[in-house]
Amino acid sequence: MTGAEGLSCYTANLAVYLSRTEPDTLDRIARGVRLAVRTDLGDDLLAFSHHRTPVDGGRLAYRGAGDADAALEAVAAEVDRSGGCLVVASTGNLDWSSAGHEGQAPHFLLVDERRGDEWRVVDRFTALLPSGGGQEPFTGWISTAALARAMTPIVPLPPEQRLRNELAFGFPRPVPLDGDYQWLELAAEPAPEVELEGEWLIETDAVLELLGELWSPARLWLLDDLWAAAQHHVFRYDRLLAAEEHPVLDDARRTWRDLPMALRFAVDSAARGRHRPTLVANTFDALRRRERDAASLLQEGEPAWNDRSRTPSGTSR
Amino acid sequence: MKRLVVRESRLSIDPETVSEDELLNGPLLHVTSVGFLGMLVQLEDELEVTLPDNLFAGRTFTTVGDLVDVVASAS
Repeated sequence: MTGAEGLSCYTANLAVYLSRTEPDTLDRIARGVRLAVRTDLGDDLLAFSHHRTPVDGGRLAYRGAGDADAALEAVAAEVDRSGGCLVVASTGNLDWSSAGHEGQAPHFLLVDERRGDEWRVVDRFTALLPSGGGQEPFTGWISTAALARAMTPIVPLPPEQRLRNELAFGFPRPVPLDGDYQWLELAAEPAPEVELEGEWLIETDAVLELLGELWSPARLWLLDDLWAAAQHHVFRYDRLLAAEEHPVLDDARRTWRDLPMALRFAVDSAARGRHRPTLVANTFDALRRRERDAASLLQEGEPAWNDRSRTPSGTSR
Repeated sequence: MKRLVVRESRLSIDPETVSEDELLNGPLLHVTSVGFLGMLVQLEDELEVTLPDNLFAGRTFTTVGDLVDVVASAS
């Protein structure tokens, strides 16, 4: 899968939104995939950055309103002005997702047209959910009531989900108050470039080593961040492999693909009293080896494989 | 094991008619990745085995036979 539907619940529809005016979006996103982690937040929290450069070029800004009517009025104005508007929905409130209330998570949804009391929405995201159900891509017209329901804020918003909102573009972006209906507006000029504040690990090998050490079934929220990282890396390798087949890249792709499955199996096993520290350690060790091999190949490789992204911002301390 | 894959695929066929070459997610069986993980846990419980810690290392689970192989390697 190499289209936007293979990306995460933020990036999939962000890619669709950006692709309307920037045909190179998917390749640019693939070239910029990374996994960086902020380690100084305390409270057992980690923040993740999945993009080396701001995916949107710094042009999207969160906006919020305390009630649905005001939010929808602003969304309609943004659709008129920019031809589309990304809104912050919740997976648990989407009619085409079987996530359910327990699976609530912020989710970018593209609204690209309004016709009276109906809104045309585009959702290219697809995923299998732990419940066994899933979310399939959806494009179609929904009512004002359904859009308002989709945008109903998650209250209380778990801190790890707020961090994911802040870093959805790869770099911190101010977010509205928790409990606000939220959407994104396109600015005429990009926001000034910002650095990653705080202490970040940006070398993949060091990040994976740390995550292997920190992984525990008790930190179940890490599974969502690692699932997103796996989606992004599989997407990256799919596009590299489309340029040229290579077993080293294929191995890296497969190991990322299997990461969430191995971790989920470890969680399920632990829930039944079978802890699997060796499986988890082996999984992260294998991923570090595959990533090192792929990085070496890409550094020495053919021009088609070269990562043309800018040097990552932020510092490893 | 065949009974499990048939149940997971929500089919009502004789498990013995499923060959080891049958794709886990193909024209006959419909085992999703989430369902597959649930099956591994059930296999451990029902067969009283412990699947190896290198379960996912360098292995692909495409057919019923792949599942048979990994259970055969269990302690």
